Order: sequence, then C-alpha cells, then structure tokens
Amino acid sequence: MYERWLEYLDRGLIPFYRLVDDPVLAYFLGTFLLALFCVLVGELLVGLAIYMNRNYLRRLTDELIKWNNLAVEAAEKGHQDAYHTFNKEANDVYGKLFFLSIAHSAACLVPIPFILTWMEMRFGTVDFPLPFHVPVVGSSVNYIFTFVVLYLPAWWLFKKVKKHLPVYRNIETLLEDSARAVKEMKSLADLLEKRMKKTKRVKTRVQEA
Amino acid sequence: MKKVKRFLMPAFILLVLTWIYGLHTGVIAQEGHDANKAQEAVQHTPPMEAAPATAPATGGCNVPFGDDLGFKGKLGKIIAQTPVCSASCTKGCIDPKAPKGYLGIPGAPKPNPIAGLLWAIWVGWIFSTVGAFGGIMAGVGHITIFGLANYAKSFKKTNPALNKFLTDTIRVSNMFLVGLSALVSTINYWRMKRIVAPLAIALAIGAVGGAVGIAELTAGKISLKSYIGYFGLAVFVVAGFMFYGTTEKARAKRKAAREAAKRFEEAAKKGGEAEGVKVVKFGITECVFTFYGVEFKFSPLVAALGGFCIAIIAVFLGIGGGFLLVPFMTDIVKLPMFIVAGTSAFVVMIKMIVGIATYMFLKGVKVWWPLVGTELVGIFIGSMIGPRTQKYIPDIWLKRLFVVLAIYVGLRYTSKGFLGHSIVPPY
Repeated sequence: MYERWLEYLDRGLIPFYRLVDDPVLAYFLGTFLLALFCVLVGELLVGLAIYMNRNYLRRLTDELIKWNNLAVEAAEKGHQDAYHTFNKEANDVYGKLFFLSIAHSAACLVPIPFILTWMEMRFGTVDFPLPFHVPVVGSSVNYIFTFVVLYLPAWWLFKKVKKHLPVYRNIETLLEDSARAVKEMKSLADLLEKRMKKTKRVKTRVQEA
Repeated sequence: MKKVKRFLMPAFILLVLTWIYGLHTGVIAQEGHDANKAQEAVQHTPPMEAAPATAPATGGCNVPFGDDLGFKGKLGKIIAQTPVCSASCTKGCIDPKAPKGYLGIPGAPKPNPIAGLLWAIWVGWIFSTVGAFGGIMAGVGHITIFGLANYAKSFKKTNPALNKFLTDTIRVSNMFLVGLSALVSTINYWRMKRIVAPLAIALAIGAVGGAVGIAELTAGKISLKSYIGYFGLAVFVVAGFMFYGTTEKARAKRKAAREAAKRFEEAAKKGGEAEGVKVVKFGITECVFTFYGVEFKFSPLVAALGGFCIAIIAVFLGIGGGFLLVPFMTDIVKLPMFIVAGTSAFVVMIKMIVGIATYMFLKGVKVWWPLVGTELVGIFIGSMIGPRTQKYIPDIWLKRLFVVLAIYVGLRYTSKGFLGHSIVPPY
C-alpha cells in the first residue's frame, strides 16, 4: 500500500524538481517549494483543528484565566495558602491545554514525514558536501538537512505574508483568539512592577517633603 | 537584541544561498559527483520494491549477508552482518527477495497504515482528554501494535546489533511525535512571550546534558527486552500520578479549592491590605523572593539538576517527560503558573530535539517516515474527536479507566522485560 502511495506522490512531486535544468539548483528549488507546500498545508490543518475545537478551547482558556488570576490576586493580598491552592488548579487546567496544544501542533507537521518519505526514496543516497568539516555533523549532509534549512526560510517568508493571504488571515485571527489567555492572565511580575512604582512614588514624596 | 533578531533569519538565508551557490559552481564538491547523483535521482524513477539479491543457499544462521542492500551508514553495516534466510535459517534473518517493510528492510513487518492511523487517533484522543498518557500509548503502538518488538526480538541471537538498532528506532519514533509537536507549541509560546528565559535556560542546560549523555551512552546498547522493562516501570509512575488524581484526597483538595475561590472572591470584593514585595536572596544556588507575602524559592542548580534527571528518563524511554516536568516545576520548585506555562513545552522540545539529533546524526539511527506521518495525521484527527466525546464520559471515570489500562500495560511490559514472559494475558 505504501509503495502505491509513493508512486502517486512521485508523480505529483517530481515536476517541482524539473523546473530548471541545473541539477543542484533544480534540487534546491524543488525542495524549497515542497517546504513551502508543507508550511501552507500545515497551517491550514492547524486552523481547522483550532476551529473545530474552539468551544472546548474557550472553556479551558476561561478556566485557566480564572484560576490564574485568582492565584495572583491571592498573592497580592498575601494569602499564601490560597495562592498555592489556586495555582495548583491553574496548573491542572494548563496541563489539559498543554496536551491539547501538542495534539494541535501535530497538525502543523502532518505533511512533512510524507514529503521526507518521498525524498528518502528519491534522494536517500545523495550526499550534499559542506564547505568544511563541521564537528558532530561531518563533511556532508543528507536530504533531511537540506529540507530543514529550506523549511525555516519558507516558514519565515510565510509568516511575513500570512496576514495578507485570504484564508490564512482568518486562521491568524483564530490563533490570536486562542492565545488570549496570555493577555488576560494576570502575572506576578506585573504586581512586582506595580509595587515598585508605588515604592518609588512614596520615596519621591518623602524626599520632596 | 531586537535588531540582532531581525537580521538572524536573513543572515541564515544568505548562508544557505552561499552554500547552494558553492554546490552549483562546484567550489564545494566531494568525491562521487553528488550533483550527478542528484540529477540521476531526479531523472530516473527508483525501484519501489526490494532489489532481489543473490542469497547463499545454505549455512544455517551463521552466514552473514555480506551486502548492505543499498542501505547507507550504520544500518547498512548492520544489515551486512545479519544472516540471510535459507532452508535451515528462517528466523532472525533477512530474505532479500521478500517485500520491503519497516525502514525498507526486506521481510520486516509493514505496519498497516489503517491500523497505524486508528491507533494514532486513539493517541490523539488521549492527548486531548487525559493528557500525559498519550505519549505512553504512542510507545505501546510502536512496541506492540505494529509488531516491531517481535521483529526486533527475532534478531536477539542472530544479530544483537540489529535488535538494538531497532530498539533505538522505536525510541526515536516516540520522541518524534512528542518533540516535533512540542516544537510548534514552543514557537507559539515564544511568540506570546510566555517563556521565562533564565529558568528555561537553567532547565535546558540540564536537559541537554541529560539528553546527549543518555543517547551517547545507550544508543545501540539497549536490548529490546531491557527497554520494554524500563518502559513498563515508567508506565507505573504515570499510573501513580493518574491514580492520585482519582483519590478522595485529591478530589477533596479540588473541592476545597473551589470553596476557597468563592470565599476569596468575596473577601477580595471587600478589599484588603497588600504585604509588599521583597527580594530576600539572589544567587546561583538559591533565589528567594516574596511577591506580596508569598515566598518563592528558585534554585537554578536544582532546576538544571531536575532538567538533567528528567531528560535522562525521557530520552532513554523516548517519551516527552511532561508528566514529570510539570509536577517538578509546580511541586518541587514551587513555581507559579505563568512560569510553568511555556517553559515546560520549551524544555520538552529542547530535550527531544537534542535526543533525536544525537540518535539520528551521531548514532545513525533511522525512523520510518511513513509511520511517523500516518501517526501525525491520526493525532490530528484524534485531537478533534477528544473534546467532542469528553462531555459524555466523566473526567474521573476516564482517569480510572486509564489507571487500569496503565497498570495492565505496566505489568505486561515490566514482566516481559525483566522476567522474560508476561504475567498478564496474552502470555
């Protein structure tokens, strides 16, 4: 079954590598286009996962914000026991959100192993020499390395233009909404800052007096 | 710092382009004319099935294959040392004429994509409902469900090196699922500025040391039997954590927390006196500070040591270790929520990436991409099913179910690993 899928993949992917005649340029151009394809499809899948789970995510996020803010308020009032109790509850909810986000993140990476399967079949025996011997890595690298070094620029480029692309613009809004906990969660560092400002003001007043 | 960050990626792209230019013009070249090899790879369709090789007719299981079957690196060398199948040798050998299976090895089991997908949906469902047990179940899939353990076991006597190599691929495949996903989570948290760099770095230093150390020390040296035994022990630890969550004590604590929250909210409305902030002590071994009367102790050394120990366990077993890391940060280091968030994802990512890199690049361990890909698809689907089914199954019953499952898996793996046979069915 895998072989059949590989044949289909081969038919679909090899044209990316035949856009130019030079073998080196053809390889890197093709790999960059595949990396860009992985970024685009991955982001679409993440958007789909977050959209499908939006209600559950909202509920967990609300709970996280509630317990975290209670913990910070307890700290502000000096209730040490209450702080630890609320903080523990916040951590439990965070645990759920953490593993859910791990599952969502898998969506982003879904296309990559399939592309690497195909690349291994096509380019598994090719060594790409490095300009000098790199300790640990050696004097040459394989297809995985070339894919990773091209995936990073593809991802960076996509992030730059994401907000201007029709569907991805909506995904960005979804992602921002799911990350609202960050904005709404009170932080102890904010308390520290507030307190320091207050102390500074008191000191200034004392000096003036 | 911001200016430096802005130029980081363009500088990286420039470096990559220079390298490509060097390869293109032939300034950077190697024996073997790799440009021609790349051209050949692009122009010709490679064979999808195993290339038949001539096998020695007789000789039992003592005759090494002597051919790497086109496998590169460590796997090629190990394959060449494996006996070839013959009339007198049918187990623990390689039949070059058999169809390619796991890792492209002829005759190796080929996990059914549908079974792989269904199992991964189950893993994704656990990730999105119970959490920590997902990584363990991914491991159970690689060891038992896909038949990789039995295949590795068959080489125990005929080629122990292949047995250990296959054990390493199971460990790395587990790490791939958790590590790659944690990478994306970390990027999101980093963007949200949810990672407290000094703590994360302290933990990561320990984690990197542990991950490299354990991968260096154990790659190619751990037999499948030992691995399964230790994996079983880890399952017991997870079962312990989950069981604690279902106890009366833990449930009473949750109830008390909810009541305390109510009282606290009422008291907060009436107003109260703040006690202030005071840094008591700051140093490498101990940082003590109070935020409005609540005391925190954070020791960079303890954090690094904790990161080191957790990384040893996680990379050895090929699991994320989040189930150890989060309690470590909250219960031992006593850190507040906003520090734990993000930092745990960052540390899981660091140790998984370092572990994977050490196994794959330094020790030549391979993974089978189609399986990893199928599993990622399954986790993605499972993560969407989980929240939809959760309302029908009470949280407490879900946890109890997984405690029973974890005890069964733990008993089975520990006994198989350390006693040589399972004490629970199927024997």
